[in-house]
Amino acid sequence: MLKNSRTVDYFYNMKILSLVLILSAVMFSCDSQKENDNLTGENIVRYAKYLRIIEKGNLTTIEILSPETGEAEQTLNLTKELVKTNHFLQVPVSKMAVLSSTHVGMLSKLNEIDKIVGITNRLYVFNEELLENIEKGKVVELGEEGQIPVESLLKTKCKTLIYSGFGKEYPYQKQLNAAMVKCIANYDWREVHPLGKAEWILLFGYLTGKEKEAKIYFDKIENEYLALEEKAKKLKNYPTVLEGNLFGESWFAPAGESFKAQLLKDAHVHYQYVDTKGTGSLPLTLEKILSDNLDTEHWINPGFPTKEKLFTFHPKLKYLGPVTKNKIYDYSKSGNRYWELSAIEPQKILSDYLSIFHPTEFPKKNLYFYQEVK
Amino acid sequence: MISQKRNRFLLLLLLVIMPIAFISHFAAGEISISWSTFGDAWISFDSSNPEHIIVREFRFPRFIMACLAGSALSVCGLMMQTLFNNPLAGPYILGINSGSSLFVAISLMTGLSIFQSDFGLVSSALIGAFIFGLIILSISFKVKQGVSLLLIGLMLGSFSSALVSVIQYLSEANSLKMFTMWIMGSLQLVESDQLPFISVLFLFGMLGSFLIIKPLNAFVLGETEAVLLGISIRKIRLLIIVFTALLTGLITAYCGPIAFIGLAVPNLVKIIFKTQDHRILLPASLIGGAIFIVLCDIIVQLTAQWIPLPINAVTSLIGAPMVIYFIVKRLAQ
Repeated sequence: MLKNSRTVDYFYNMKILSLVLILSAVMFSCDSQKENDNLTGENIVRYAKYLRIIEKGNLTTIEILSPETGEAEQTLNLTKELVKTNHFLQVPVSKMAVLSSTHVGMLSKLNEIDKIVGITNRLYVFNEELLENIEKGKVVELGEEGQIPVESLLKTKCKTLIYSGFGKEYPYQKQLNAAMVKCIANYDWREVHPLGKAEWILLFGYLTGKEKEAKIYFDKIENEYLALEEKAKKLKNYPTVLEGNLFGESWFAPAGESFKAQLLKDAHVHYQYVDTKGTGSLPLTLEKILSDNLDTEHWINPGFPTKEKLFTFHPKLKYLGPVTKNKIYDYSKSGNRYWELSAIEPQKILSDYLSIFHPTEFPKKNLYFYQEVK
Repeated sequence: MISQKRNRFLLLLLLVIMPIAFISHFAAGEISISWSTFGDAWISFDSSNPEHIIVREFRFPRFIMACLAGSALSVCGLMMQTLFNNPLAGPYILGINSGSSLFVAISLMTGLSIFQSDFGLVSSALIGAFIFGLIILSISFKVKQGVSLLLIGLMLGSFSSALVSVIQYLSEANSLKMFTMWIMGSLQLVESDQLPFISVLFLFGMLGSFLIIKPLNAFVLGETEAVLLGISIRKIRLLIIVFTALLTGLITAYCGPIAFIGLAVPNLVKIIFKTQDHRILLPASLIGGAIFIVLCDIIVQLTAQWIPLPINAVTSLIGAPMVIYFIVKRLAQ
């Protein structure tokens, strides 16, 4: 009898459990449907592969896509209404911590440097206004990107933390979310087209409530970039160019599908490794680099501002063609300017490249990022 | 008598393996170069021929540097193990490499002119190695237990690593990059015209080490016995530190800090040769160290087009299983 009663109870419980599971599944699918409905609008992003922005009425949905899977890694629902939930992010955001120089550059183009309350290290800052704010104590230095002092960050009362995405949650994401600080991944560094990198200014535009200004700025640099590319297409010669430097045992040269290789293609040059696959770097031996580049004309981005510093560690690089021809250029003209502004001003990198590689057609008036390595 | 014959045979075997390893090293680069081109690069050098440049300026200095680094670090490790009567001793464990790293970090990243002499990196690395060697030596007069001394060496290493981290955090990007490149360790940075200077210092340190073979053998018996045999303990201790600092600082300056060799090779040599006689151990460490690092560098070169492996990683990846195998085998016997 007891056994029978237990069996009945068991089946009764199982029925209840099944019902709950079915109801949950139906509710979950409805939620997903709702979410998908929200994302059926037009994506306004044109070049950036890892950013989607969809406007629908008063709500803007921003998706940060994973470079590995292409799936949405983070979804941000932005609203200008007052909210007290983590499901929505109220914009404009009044205070933000940004952990990469490129983020500072993008905010500077929107005149929103005042919104920054946290950075990694003042040694990597170019923007004078931000340096002044650090001096005045308005901005805290948080140190290493993955090891920030959480309490110092919370003390700034910032609402968002923007970090360079790496495929996982930010190390203190759960604690920061609980403290109503939204952690947002930024994959501008993984973009493969120079304009794709620059287009991440739209993210900052929407966060700061300056989406119109961001769109206008992006359209302007897009037009300038495409105009330069068009002019370069009419050139007849293809000067040979080597890019990168030795690090440890290998020379890391941009792979054929990378952002840097794209810039070289657009600058109408012959880059030895343009047909290789990959969006990152190619590890090449020094022997291979030497045998491929004994007659190469230019060397760009050696990573050191002077020959003295360059050859202190790599004396053997003196055999490379561009060294004997004295045609080495580096991005070190103005300290951290390149790191802060190159992502948001790709037209100026292209302009510098054209002046360096095609000096007759594009005279070197005043290079913006680059200078000759002497 | 049998063991003497065996050890002579083993030394002979190392001498036979040596040229095979050396020839393989010359042939291991990514660019395929014929043996006749190797000859031409020396007999009729053409500076516009990339293959000639690769032979004379890339493969030859790299090979010589590998031999010098392997030999020097192994011999230093052996002398340290004898001095402190502990198989765990070595220039890396006792913080001598860390001293070099700290001074190179100060030299590269702080811009203090006092450290930026004509010799630049070399003098910084040598000064660092020598100062840390002297610190360990002076402590060793008060602390007799080998384990305590090793612990102090490890603490010195940790202390200097922490200081290096602070300096790295405060330094500007270019200096930081230079230091990061240096600390990764590499055998391919030395130029052919730097080799004579390096070789002279190496020979000086190595000759000095061979001249103290007899006191080293006496140290194996214990300090009391060594005194009874008429050995000046203080003088020999100082000489060991001087030669070790010179050789370690020299190699660290030109190749970056290379770990493991100073610890692994002397232990491997002792296990294989089954002797405490430094007349055997010293030349065996010298040849064995050169062969070991040359073999590791062959792996670095063969894999470089797919995986850029630092020499430090390969020495540990190859050496650690070898040492474990020989220890287990000896215990089983």
